Amino acid sequence: MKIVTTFLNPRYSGIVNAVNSLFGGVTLFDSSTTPASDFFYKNKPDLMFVDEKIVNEHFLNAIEKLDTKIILFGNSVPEGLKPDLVCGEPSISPLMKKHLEREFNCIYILDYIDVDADLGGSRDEKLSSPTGILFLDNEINIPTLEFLVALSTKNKLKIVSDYNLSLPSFVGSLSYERRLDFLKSIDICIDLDGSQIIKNAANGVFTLSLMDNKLFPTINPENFQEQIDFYLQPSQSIKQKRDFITDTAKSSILSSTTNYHRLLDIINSLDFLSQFKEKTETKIQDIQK
Amino acid sequence: MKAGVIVESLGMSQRAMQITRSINKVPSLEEYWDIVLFYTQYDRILLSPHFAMMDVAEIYGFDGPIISTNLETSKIALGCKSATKKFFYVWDLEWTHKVFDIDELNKIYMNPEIKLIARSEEHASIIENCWKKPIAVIENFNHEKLTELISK
Repeated sequence: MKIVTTFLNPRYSGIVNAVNSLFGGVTLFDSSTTPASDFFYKNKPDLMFVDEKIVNEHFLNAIEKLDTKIILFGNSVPEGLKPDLVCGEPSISPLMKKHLEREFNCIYILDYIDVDADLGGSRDEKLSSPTGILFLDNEINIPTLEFLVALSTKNKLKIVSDYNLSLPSFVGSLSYERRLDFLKSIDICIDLDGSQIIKNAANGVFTLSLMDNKLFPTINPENFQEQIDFYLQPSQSIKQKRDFITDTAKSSILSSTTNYHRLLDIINSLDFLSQFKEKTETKIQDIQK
Repeated sequence: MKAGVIVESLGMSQRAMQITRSINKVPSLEEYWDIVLFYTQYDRILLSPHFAMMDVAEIYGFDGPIISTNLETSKIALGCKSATKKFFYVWDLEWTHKVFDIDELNKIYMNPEIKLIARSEEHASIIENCWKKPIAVIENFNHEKLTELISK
């Protein structure tokens, strides 16, 4: 089966990575460098993963006469496109959801970790610290800044970010791969907005989050120190408690929240993909081991 | 005893003024000290230096202890194989002003060859949190404490 993917939104790239890793041969169509008509004249895909943002008149004309099955990633369907499946975000508005479900075969892609890209890392003493923060936003607001200042005055803290935070605990930026080393080198990761929870859980990184969640203990900006001090105690029982929380979170994520699980959701929604089911299920079992 | 200090320049800055002032006081010490200042850029000098000054190109033959004063001069110090000891007087918390790759900073601040000297207790605690514990806190490039430290 010839599979083509368009230049994808990072939110969905893990699913295409899973397809490529299991079945290989996924060809990338980058509309910014290749004209659609040339590309589809040479490549006649059987299946195509399409990002709603790249669909335009040229693209529609180029695929018009092809008998290609289309899986569309996005919260709306561009006019003229007839996807076999629409993969939307769970946060889509209820009205749009009803509209899509009336017209198309739809599923909603929950957050996931990309097993091949998001797992790994090893402890590096040079990056170690009792507490650490990976700050990935490009903007910081006053309450967050106040929280970071309060946190850094009471704790040994390292903040890694691609953006200058002008705080003494801010130590600089790290490449994507080295960020995993950083997470493995800190005793407690402080999650500010819920964005780190799934990845940290999958990597076995103990986390205290400002967001309510089912995997890790939560802290609040007014009363965070007690929790941090509690979990940093060197006693064996606290260490066991931390390990238990981390192990439970890890197995919960690896058993339900990987890119292969999301791929299986897609496969289960389309009969013509049933040939891929067995291999995907085997991979999911391997991940859990 | 001899020692080398590496600076970017002795132009108009608080750092340059303080370093010049401090090294100018070295001849008043009981022990004889031969201090050489190496600069990476020649600039207009505000205070008359009572010590030798050389372009940093000359440092590679220098066989005494050396003190660097910022990240750039610390990189130069690391390449100086003949230096007997290497100290980094952390004048400024440079990593808080712009985004550096942490691995590049680790090569300097966490380098076992380089001993860090902090300017104040507050700086020392920040440096220890981010990198490693400074071996001393010496305010305002104090000539007595610095010479005592490097002669140990």
